[in-house]
Amino acid sequence: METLTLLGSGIWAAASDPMMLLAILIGALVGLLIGALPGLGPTAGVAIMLPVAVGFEPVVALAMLAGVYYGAMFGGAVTSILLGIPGDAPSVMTVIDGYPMAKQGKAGQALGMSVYASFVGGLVGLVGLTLMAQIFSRYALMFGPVEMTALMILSLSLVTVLGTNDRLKSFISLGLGLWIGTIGLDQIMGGPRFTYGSSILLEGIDFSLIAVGMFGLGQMFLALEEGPASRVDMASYSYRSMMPRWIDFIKCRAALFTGSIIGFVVGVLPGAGATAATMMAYATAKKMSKEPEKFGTGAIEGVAAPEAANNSASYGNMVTLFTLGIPGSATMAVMMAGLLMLGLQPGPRLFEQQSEFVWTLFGTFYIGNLLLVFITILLVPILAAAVFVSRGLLFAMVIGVVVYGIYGINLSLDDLLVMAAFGVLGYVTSKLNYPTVPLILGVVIGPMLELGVRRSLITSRGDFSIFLGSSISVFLLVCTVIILVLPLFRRFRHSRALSTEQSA
Amino acid sequence: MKIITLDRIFAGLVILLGIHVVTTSIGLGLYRGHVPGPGFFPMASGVLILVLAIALLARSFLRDKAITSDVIAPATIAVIGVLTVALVVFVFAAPLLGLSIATFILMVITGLLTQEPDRRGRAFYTRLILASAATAAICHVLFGQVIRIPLIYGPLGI
Repeated sequence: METLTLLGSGIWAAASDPMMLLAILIGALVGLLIGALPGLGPTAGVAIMLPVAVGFEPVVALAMLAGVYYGAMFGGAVTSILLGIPGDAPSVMTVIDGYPMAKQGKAGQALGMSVYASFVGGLVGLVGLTLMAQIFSRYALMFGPVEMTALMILSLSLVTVLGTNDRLKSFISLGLGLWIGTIGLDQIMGGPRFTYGSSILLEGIDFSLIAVGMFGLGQMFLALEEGPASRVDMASYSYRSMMPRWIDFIKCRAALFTGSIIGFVVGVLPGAGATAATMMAYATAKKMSKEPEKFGTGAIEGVAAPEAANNSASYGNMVTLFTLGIPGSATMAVMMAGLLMLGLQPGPRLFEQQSEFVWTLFGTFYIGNLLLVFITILLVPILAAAVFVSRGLLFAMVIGVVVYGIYGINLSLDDLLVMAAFGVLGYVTSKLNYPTVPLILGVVIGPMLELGVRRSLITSRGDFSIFLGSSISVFLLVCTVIILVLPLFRRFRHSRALSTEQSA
Repeated sequence: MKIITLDRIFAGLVILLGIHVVTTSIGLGLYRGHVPGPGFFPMASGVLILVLAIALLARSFLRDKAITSDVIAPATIAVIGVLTVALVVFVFAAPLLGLSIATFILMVITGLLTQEPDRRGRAFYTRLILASAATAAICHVLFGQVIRIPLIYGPLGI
């Protein structure tokens, strides 16, 4: 009941503030476009908007950034269905059935289902976020420095191991991130580290420069290698055909429900991400269907499940950020940077000390989720055409916004040089298949992890057994060991089985 | 440039970085008495980088064939290089020209460099100039008037 009251007042506070509504609208519009544009994903969108957003009040800024994130989840489906071109990674699964549906003349039905599935998934994710945030934050208050340190180690391990085929490069990426996080003044003893006599580096490298460089500029460089979107016949549709039909809802109810739940659970897990959630949701919907053979040929459940999952996952992703202060994905790391730049420390204390901020922000999410249903349907023609926007115009405008935004953070033009360097690094690491998420999380979580480890060891006078003194931290560290060892064990078993087969 | 070559060069650079981080960390002091010193954590990350980068380099020579056939087109490297140089020049030019004019020029250069060759033409150039001027003007108003950030003004007062 208390949660409902807090949420109700949060929604009212957001809905009654025109500035807040404008921020949600701008964020959602930018997100929709980013989601529809191939090449720039939600992380790039949030990173590019970060320096712009931090100029506003904290709730307005976060509402805008979150709007970009969940807006992108809505927008990706439009081009996937109408043109067979996924705007971002989480909408790849929507192409499988959405595009065949469009080719069969059911584009409106597929678009309608994608929008409503996104709304349902978003709503389930939001309810999950609202409930879990309360529970998590209460339990998280029991976490001391030792438990938080163990949790950070677990999160970094999860992020590094999951979502990559090359663990070696993933751990190097993490190591680089952890090192970059140590640049600047030592947090405990105050001496400079890796500053090379530069006063600019004394405060460390601003995370926003790394995020905008690696995700904004780096993705732009990567997109230079992509050919222009080939002109394909856009499937025809009418606004009327996008209206909800009960028969579709009834047919897709299981796919919608399981997709939303899978999306949320996978979203909560650090490192798993929305793309993995859509794949799992699609596979589950196919398994549960009475006509699995229709999947891939234009089954409407094949649109409902992944769309519900990616929107639900986007809110699941926020649970650990807001309750524990631990971002589980690159986009959340950028959002966390936004929170920190606005002087807010995410974590359980945020719910105690900034309760109004948290609930108003959650209120904006509910409004944004509903608003997106209408604006996505209205903007379908624009979103579909966005794929063909000329690259030169798009990148020129991105550079313009980025230049002003980066300058605006510290009123320093030198920051642009740092951003450019990280842009090149982002391009090179992406080309070489180094996952960027561990690097980014290493930079964000690294300084907190170092502080936790060193403070704990100062308390114990250098005795490492302090990390085994609490049942919570023991449990978390055991989980970490399992996560790290399990892939090695599996690989060992696989290679043994192979050698046995060969010798036989 | 072949990706495998870039991969090995990058691994080599990471090894050098790892050695630098490890040696600097030792200099910073791993322990102060019984408690970890400023070099403790960088040492851990340095060792992680160094050991794994050596393993990666060894792997690339022994059996890594997954990315051997890929190449980066010289044209892409050239565009990235010129864009990066343009950003560096912008940093020095902005105090002289003013932020909005320098941004406008940078945007035009970016557009010209990144546009698909088969979609260039008079219409594109016109749109690029108009879009760059409009974006620079909107950013100037948004950051200067709405967010109230002190911007850099040039000789023309903008």
